[in-house]
Amino acid sequence: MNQTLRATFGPIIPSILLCAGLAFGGAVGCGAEGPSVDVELYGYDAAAGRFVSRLGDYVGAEQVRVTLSRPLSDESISSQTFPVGDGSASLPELQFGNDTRLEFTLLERSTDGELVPLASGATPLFDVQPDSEDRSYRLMLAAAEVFSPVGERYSDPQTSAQWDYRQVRFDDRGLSGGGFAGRTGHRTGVASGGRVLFVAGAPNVEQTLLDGTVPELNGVHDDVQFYDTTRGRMINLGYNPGADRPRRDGADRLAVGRAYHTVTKIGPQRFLVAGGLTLEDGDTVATGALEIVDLDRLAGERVRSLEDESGAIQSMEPARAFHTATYLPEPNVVVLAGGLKPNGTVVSAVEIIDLESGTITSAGDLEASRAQHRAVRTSSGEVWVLGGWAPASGALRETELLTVEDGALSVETDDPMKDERYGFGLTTVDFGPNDSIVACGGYTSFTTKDKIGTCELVVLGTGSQETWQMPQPVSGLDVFSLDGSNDLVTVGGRNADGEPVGATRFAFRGSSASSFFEPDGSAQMGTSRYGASSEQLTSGLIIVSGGVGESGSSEVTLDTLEYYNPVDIVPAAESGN
Amino acid sequence: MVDDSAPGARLLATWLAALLVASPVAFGPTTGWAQQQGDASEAGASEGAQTSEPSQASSEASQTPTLAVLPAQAVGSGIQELVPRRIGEMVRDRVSGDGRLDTLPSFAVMQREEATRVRSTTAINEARKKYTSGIGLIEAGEYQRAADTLQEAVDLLRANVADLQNFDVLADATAKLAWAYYEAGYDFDARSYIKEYAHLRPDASLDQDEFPPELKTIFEEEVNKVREAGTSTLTIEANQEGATVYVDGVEKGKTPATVDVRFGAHYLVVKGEKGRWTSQILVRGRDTRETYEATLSQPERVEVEEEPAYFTQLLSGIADGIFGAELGPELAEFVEQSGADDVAWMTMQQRDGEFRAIPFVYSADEDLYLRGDTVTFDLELSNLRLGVDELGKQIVEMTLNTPTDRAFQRVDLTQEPEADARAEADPKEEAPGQTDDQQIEEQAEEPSDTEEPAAESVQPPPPIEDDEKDGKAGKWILVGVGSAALTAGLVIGGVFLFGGNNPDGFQTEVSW
Repeated sequence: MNQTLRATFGPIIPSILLCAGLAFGGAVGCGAEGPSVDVELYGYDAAAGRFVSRLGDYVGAEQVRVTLSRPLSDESISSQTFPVGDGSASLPELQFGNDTRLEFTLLERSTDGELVPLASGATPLFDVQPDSEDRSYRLMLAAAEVFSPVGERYSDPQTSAQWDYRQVRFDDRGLSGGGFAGRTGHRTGVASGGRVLFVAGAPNVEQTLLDGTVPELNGVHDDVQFYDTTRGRMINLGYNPGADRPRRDGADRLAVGRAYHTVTKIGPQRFLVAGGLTLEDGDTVATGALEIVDLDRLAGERVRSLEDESGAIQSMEPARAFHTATYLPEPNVVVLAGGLKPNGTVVSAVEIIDLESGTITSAGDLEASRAQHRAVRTSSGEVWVLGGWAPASGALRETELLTVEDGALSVETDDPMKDERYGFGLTTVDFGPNDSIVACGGYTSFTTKDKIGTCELVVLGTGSQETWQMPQPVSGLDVFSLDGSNDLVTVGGRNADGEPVGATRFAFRGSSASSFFEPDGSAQMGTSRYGASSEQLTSGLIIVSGGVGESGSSEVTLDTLEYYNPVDIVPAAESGN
Repeated sequence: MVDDSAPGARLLATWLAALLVASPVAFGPTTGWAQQQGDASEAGASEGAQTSEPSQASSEASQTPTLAVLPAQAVGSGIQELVPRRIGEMVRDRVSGDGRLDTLPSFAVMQREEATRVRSTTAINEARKKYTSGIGLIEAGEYQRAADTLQEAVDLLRANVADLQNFDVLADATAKLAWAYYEAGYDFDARSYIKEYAHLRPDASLDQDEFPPELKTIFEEEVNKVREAGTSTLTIEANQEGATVYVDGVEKGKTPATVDVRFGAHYLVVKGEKGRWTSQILVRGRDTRETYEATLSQPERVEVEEEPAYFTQLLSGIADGIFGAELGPELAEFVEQSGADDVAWMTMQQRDGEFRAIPFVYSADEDLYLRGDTVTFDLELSNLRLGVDELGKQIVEMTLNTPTDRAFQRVDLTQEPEADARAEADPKEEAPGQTDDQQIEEQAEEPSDTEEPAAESVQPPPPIEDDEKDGKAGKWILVGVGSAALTAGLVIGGVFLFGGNNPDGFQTEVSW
């Protein structure tokens, strides 16, 4: 009996396995598909004034356009549109590549029958290759050309199986000083993968003009938080959500709370926090403390003081605020330049932090002492310092070029800007020669505190090339260049009357036009604020956080965040791939 | 008015009774598992004021870490959902069986228990309201309505006695019910309930000024009867060893248990993983021996609502294969709701013709994410038992020791190289005589704690019958030939996979 069975099953089993193998391999092979990117959208419906889930009832929406682009190289790979009513779409065989972005534009029909952007959003930049596996994002579409509250996902665990959305706020759990998480004088950075970092700041400031006088602090935050744009979540590093308490021994928060410091990106998830103002015995003083934030490290180890190889804690000398800190990747150093001491002294000191050894060394001096200046890294790996002020020289238009070679610093004067500026906005631009920047607004006189209402294009080695008017003089603003259109956007600041300013878009007319840029619309913030921090995300949105705004008849720091959406999607053919 | 043995205790009892009535926070419907535990502690403390014995609630406290094990998640395509699900359940059983951790039941079971508890809590709260109303009606002289109301309260409390955290409510309501019946002219019922109260609280005394003297006399006579009759030795057995035995709300031991109980009517409750069993028993006393067989069963199934968003998002975040601190909010919510100290899960991927399983543990107290060694299974799951054992062992060790050298900030399983450090389970070390298919079949017969009927089952190759003489040789010949055939099939299939159908691009799914 058994023998018979074996004789029967003997040939059958290999056959079964052969078929199984063929079926498995064939099925998988025939069904071979590339990796998938799943995206779920939610949005803020500006017309309705509320967040909407999955856009089913987004007022006026007609179609969704999905575009694959590589914004760093201004490439639009493919684009397709779908009726909003479809609720979902599948796009097969999108082109592999690095620094890729998927853009989503909600389209409405204008009065003249054109489909125009109603809201948009995009993934962060990501790499996708044949061996990449699936990934997923949940993204907020922000209304076009206006400010929208930044959404946070939440659910009532007892009553809701669905997520809802509300405006995100800084996490006030576990703050060292307790109480409110609103802030100004905080600093931000953008980590890879769609994380936005927020570092410290002051919950209350007496003097907020930032016109060359030293702010008087009533408190400082020491927290480090980040907002995950792809999940819609604010994370306070120093708070343990699992145990529902602050981390032990002050872990994952700054050793020195501060405001008006610098945050410099030194890696995809690493940042250097340098200097700033802090409080000692109730007095506003400068700190020289240097701390590293590394989001890739374990919880409890993500914030640490800069130490050399012997474990000695490093600090700036002199301690100061309103300096610049510029990262040079090739020698892996950060160059600290200038700054303001609380006694009103403006310094010329230049220090170099060697991130390999963790040491800071005094490297020399600027040609001109300066504070509230700007600095950018050039294409050749130098540090270009522009503008600023000093008591003796007043507002500056001079620029300097700092070169670091074998740890040694050399300083040379470069061609100046057209106008003296400090507390101004600056961005690098892609058009024109290498190392071109645009500087906008700021104070132009240290004595009169006059503000300036122009922008200028400045080219390294050549000086100011072009000047154009802003709608009004503004100080304390940020400027961003849009990759696709080369348009500019100024965000935030205060006008000559001290009123908060929203966003202004400047359309690029071409470098052969009589005026390179012309104002092309403006937007007011949802909550008027100044002293906020702004960052441009790789998704194209600009995120504005904190600042000072009005509450009733008094001014308070804010704990809310807003997006400004300067729609900047490179047009692509409507015919799919 | 009920009078405990000491004036202080009476005053405390009065205050507690007032608190029961006045505090909607303390006794309103609870909304989460962790809150349930918190309420239990409160109730245990209040009972502790009147008895030195451990209560149902206080017995829930434990020093060992409480671990919640999430369902295992498949990462990436190419792996059947059933495989990680079944292996995950086996790993959970392995962890639970280790005994060094308090392993929570699956989310589905917790959710159902919670729904059941909420229903029970709702009933108990309703009973409390009726109890309070009954007292008011007695004081107002409306004894008939008081009797009706208190009867409803007692009935509700009896029906939910297994979930009753403060047993004094039932005892006190019994005494008040006797009083109401007496004043309403129902002498028989009054006698019956005051005797029951004497059985439950023989050390108490009735307030002279409030209780009718005749009732007090009956009570005292019954108390004397209880004292004279002494105790019986009760042996309580159940269809589950280790189930907890409670008599009148006080923990008495684990099944099989032997306890001495005084004469009279008492409430016997047995609670364990298999469910609960309750009975009102009549103890004869006089050193007799009595045996009770408790058949534990799950309470009537309560329909549960959809899984909450934080839980589904937690699982989908793990299934994405890219996770770490960003799971914090969902994990925090899960920890808060479940009361777990640690959360474990397992991912499974299919790569290079094998299943790769990785155990993870989240330590809520340290906010640390720990990753264990990869354990591989071949596609036939020939090393199933050893692999499951290894995964379970790693989870237990990581939970107990929180090894920081295994901590990570973020993992991206989708981008990891094919080869990494693995703790491979050697199939040759399998116990002799147990074939792979037997293992999976045996495991498949184990009741699933999710209690979800499997839509499909793992289909191992058909069992091979063999004679005793040359069975081993024949088996290995067959396996060898079969393996060669399988390999040939995979190679041919691989031609399709890697040769002719290499993807030309990635695909995007968008929903809005």
